Amino acid sequence: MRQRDPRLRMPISRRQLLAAAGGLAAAAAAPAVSGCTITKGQPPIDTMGLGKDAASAPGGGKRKHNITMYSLWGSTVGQGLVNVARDFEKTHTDIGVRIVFAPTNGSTQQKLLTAVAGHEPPDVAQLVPLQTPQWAAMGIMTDLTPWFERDGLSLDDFFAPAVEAMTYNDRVYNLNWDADPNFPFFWNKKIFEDAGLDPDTPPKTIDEVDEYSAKILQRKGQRVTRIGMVPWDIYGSSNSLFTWGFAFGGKFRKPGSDAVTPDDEYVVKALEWMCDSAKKVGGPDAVSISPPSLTLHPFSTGNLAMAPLVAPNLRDIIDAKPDMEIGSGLLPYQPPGGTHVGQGAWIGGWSAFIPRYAKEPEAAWEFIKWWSASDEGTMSSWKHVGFPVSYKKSSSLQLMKKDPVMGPYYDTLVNSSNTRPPVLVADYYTAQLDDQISKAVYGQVKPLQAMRNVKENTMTELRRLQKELMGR
Amino acid sequence: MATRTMTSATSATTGRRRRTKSPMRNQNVKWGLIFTSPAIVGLLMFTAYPVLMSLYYSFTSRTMVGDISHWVGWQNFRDLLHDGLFKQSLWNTGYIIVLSVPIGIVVAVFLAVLLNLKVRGQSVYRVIFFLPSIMPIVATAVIWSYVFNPQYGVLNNLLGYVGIDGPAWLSSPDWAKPALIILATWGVGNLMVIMLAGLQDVPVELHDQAKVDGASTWSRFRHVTIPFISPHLLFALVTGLIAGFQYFTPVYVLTGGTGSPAGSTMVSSLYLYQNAFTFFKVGYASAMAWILFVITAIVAIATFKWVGKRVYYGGR
Repeated sequence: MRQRDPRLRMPISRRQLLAAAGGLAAAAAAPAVSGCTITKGQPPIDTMGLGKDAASAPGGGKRKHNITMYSLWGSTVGQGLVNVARDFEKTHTDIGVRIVFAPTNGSTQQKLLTAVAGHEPPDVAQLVPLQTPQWAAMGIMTDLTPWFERDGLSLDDFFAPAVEAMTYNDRVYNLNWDADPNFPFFWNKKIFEDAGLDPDTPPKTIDEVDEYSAKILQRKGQRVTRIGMVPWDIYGSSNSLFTWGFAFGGKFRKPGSDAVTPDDEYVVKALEWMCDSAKKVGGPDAVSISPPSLTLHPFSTGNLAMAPLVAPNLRDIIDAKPDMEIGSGLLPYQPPGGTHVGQGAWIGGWSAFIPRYAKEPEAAWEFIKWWSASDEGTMSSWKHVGFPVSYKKSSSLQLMKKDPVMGPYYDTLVNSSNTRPPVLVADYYTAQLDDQISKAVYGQVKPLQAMRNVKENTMTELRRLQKELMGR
Repeated sequence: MATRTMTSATSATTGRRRRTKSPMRNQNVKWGLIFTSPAIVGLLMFTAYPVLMSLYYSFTSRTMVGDISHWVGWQNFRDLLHDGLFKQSLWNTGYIIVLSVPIGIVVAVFLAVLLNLKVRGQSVYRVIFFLPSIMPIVATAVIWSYVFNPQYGVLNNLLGYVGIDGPAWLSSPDWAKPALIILATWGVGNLMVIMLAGLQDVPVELHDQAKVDGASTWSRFRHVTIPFISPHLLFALVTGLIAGFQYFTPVYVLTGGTGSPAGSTMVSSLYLYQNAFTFFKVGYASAMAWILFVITAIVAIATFKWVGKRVYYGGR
């Protein structure tokens, strides 16, 4: 028998080799199966200044409490929030704030909701104020009332419309840090002049808006190339109707209840006006006043004479078109339901809350309180983010009043008495409004019938949810 | 003869039994399972479990958050029958499928035939026509939102050259769905490659014989090419129908998830997403998903039964 060359002798059996290979394969595949990615060290959470890790303690090492907050914004607002968190960390040396960029998907906070569903939420999250009842009733939010009362805060310290959406069943569930006053009214003075109108006299009523619009309208073939106003598209269908519905004197819900009233006489009148305005110009699809690559609001094109605008849009327009002469004032109203200019304005924005299952609720409350209900925090927010605040004691409001861009928003903020209806099925309600308003504006359904459809569907959904919540 | 047959059958059975008990075979099974275990675990955890749970949820009032879940029997399915928006979403989905799938196949075959021609720079043309299908869907949708702009868009400008005042496309309830169909047709590159592969399998001799017999180009295409690529056409039809019921991303990007204008682009998947993630109605959305699954399965089976027998599998 031939002696085997020792160099060729297998030091391990084939079975062992297979076992080792199988083990390696399993080890390599395990992270993939568990959804993890193999990275060396910590993956970066901050690539564009939109997130940050919690700061270390002054003497080095970890802080006593570290909280995580989901930030929804990109660009300068996202970077501003990071700086707000840094300001907080300077004065609260026990608490570190980690900011995670978690943008919305359309109108949905998918990342936040899946985190909450998985019982692994951040310590601080945000929501649109009108969602408060549903999110509170479903147990997504922590009741802040004990801390709110313990720390001597008062609801009177906040603007009334914001308070309406901060509370549910007399409990405080969030603090509004961004009181978005929707909207002041802006007009392009040059278009007014070209149309033979006084550039310093804006329309006070909806009837006057119609008069002005008739003089401003210009067409090229079937297409509208210059228009007075686009009342059916003020940041979406439902926001349009909220604005004009309030301006006509309408109500969208029964006060103090979850029952919705989209068939309110004045709400329907407002929708009829929106539909008539679209019909007069040949339908919504006849309006073509801005190029598709335009990231600015169509008001910047000089083809739209009058528009309610949010502050970031106005700021961008002023930056891009410094020569554009823009007049500002309060929204037109429509008697007999409406009684004064600016009546259509409502307060939107964003509120901060502590999700259920948050690991550091006490530290999260300290941050929310500082950010939304202290002079120091609201000033930091104004300085870095530039959004109006709800906290009436904030010194930032005086700065806002004097600010050349934000001045009109101050007037709107202090005069506004509305908020979008914070009812138990608010998201469903607004989705129904979006659908039916759009159909009415395109002439597929009569305005009154559209609003009756919204009411019927929303009340059915409300009863279903109430039944579910009672049975929980 | 009978004895021999019986003997060989017995020995085959014995052999099978022996193979079953063979330590080597057991080892193979064991190691096979070990090697495939990551995939099996992944499939069970991330596909089988969610599928089964969605079936269970479809009979409950399960919400995405808030831990609400009651057994409601067939209530979700009954509610869906009366849900106007769900019916509209099914209609919109069907409309898009019925038009986009056949148009996509015709365009893919047409391009494949062209790209099968022996011309200079053939591979360059193939790459050019394939490029759109490797573009990310979101980027494609954003680009097409520019193309469809009524006043400044490329499409209406081109139509303007031939004297047509183009429609408002995505801003018009009547033209939004045709716009989506055009967008879907733009990405037929994958299908085109499959058809191109099919065309390579068509025997040249058959074409030559048909030519000698005096068959026209159309006759050769109709009676030689089409039968040989019919398995590819069936594949394109079935996968197109299934993908059509899952149509989501372009609509989501182009309409911001609203299905506008006037609900004209509210497809079933979008409505399902809205119910699950905006209204938190996971039970209701699950019922919707199962209805869509059943419809898709029926359509796919019917297609196999109806079209399948017309497919030519090389003489078999």
